[in-house]
Amino acid sequence: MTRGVNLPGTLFLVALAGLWQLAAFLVDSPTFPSFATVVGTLIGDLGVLLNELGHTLLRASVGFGLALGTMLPLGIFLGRVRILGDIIEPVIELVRPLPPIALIPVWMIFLGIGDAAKIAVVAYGASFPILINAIDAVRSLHPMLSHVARSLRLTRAERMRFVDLPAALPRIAAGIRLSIAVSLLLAVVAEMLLSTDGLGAFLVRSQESFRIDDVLATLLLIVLVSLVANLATEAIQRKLLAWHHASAGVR
Amino acid sequence: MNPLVAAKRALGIGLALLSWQALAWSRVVPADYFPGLPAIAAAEWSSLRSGGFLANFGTTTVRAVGGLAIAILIGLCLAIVTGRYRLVRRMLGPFVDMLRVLPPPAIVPISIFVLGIGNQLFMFIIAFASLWPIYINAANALAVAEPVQMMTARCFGYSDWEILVRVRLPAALPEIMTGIRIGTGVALLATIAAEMLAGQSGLGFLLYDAAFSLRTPEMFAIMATIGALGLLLNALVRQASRIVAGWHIAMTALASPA
Repeated sequence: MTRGVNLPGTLFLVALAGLWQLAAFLVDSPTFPSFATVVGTLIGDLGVLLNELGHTLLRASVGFGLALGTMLPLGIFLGRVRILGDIIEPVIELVRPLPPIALIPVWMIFLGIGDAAKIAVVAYGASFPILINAIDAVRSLHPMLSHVARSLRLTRAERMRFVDLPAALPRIAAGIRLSIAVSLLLAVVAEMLLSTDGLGAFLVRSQESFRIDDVLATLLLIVLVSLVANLATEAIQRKLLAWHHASAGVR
Repeated sequence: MNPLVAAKRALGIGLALLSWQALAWSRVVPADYFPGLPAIAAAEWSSLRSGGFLANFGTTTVRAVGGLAIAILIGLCLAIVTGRYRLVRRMLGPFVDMLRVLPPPAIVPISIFVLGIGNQLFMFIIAFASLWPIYINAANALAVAEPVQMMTARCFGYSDWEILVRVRLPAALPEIMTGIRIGTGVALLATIAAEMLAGQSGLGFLLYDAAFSLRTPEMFAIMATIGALGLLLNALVRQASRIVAGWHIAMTALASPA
């Protein structure tokens, strides 16, 4: 889906910013900062904010990395070894409706409020989209692939590594994208609740000291970072999965 | 469900519970932090018998369902408008993209400034969080128009609005219900998060309170309750999908093995 600049969408955003500016000018209250003030705060506090952002991104990416590193192999394994998958999947389904946020107290008790607890929050939450997508993707692979692998006398491990993983990757990619979004979300939330540093903690501190412009500037930064992360993920996936899109196009 | 699947499911859940209990017995982790199942069950039982717990359970449920209802209403109305006018859809596109990446708990601080710590705060945050999956799924589904269906409708002399309401909306129902199911999960997450951050009541608040005072059996019991609430809401939405979009499920079931 390639498209140029979305002109109506851009104009709408500009209009909203203008409306915000106008409303702030009319209300003229210190509790209602204007758009320009918020952007000014964002630029003025950029040093502090980028420092906090670094903490947040580090936790988000370590947690996501842990989730990807463990859940991708596990998902492929559970998808391929049918009987194990059938036994373990109901447990996953049972645990999944519990919001990852509700586990924050548990991590707090076991790991304190340091980096470990926050990374655990992220890793736990980021695991589900990858795991579930991987199991489903491997299960729905064409049976022919597994026949071919067998006639090539690949071992089970080789089959998972060289056949199942690449073949299932395009479908798993959707889970990975979701998981990246979840990682950022949970990193911020964990910092809000187990506050030491990071954007989430900064957000709560700004609220408690009534720095409304800082709150809004932080939100703006989170939006920008998420959008960039989204775009980057899509670009990387398009590159890594180019072979898939190419073959799907030819067919 | 066939008995083999049920047996495997029972085996899986049984093994999970057993390993929990084994871990608790082994005392690898202190019992104060990791209570066994009987202790958790006892905590759950005594919670259930106290009126306060049930009241808080009710509070959380009402908040989650109320916020979700608002999100469904707004999301569907918005999707119908954008389904009719493509320009509006393109106009809202970047704005929606920006708002939906905001972590719902991150808007708690700014919402407290505007709305205070009352029910309207929870309603706003929950509705805000669950609005996006509902709207995006519905808008995408409404944007896709099956050419044959459209031409048939044109032959019947339907107006654009009639096509939208009588052809495209029913065809989009399965995907709309998917959006609502995702939204339900998000609504529960947002409820718990908001109650932990700004609550004086509700299961999220109780959970945080129990954790900070190290009443671990109670903490795990509350987590089990939240999980059960999630399962219940999920099952309700699934049932609703079956009623609303059952014809579609029946049609696709013919194509794929059940």
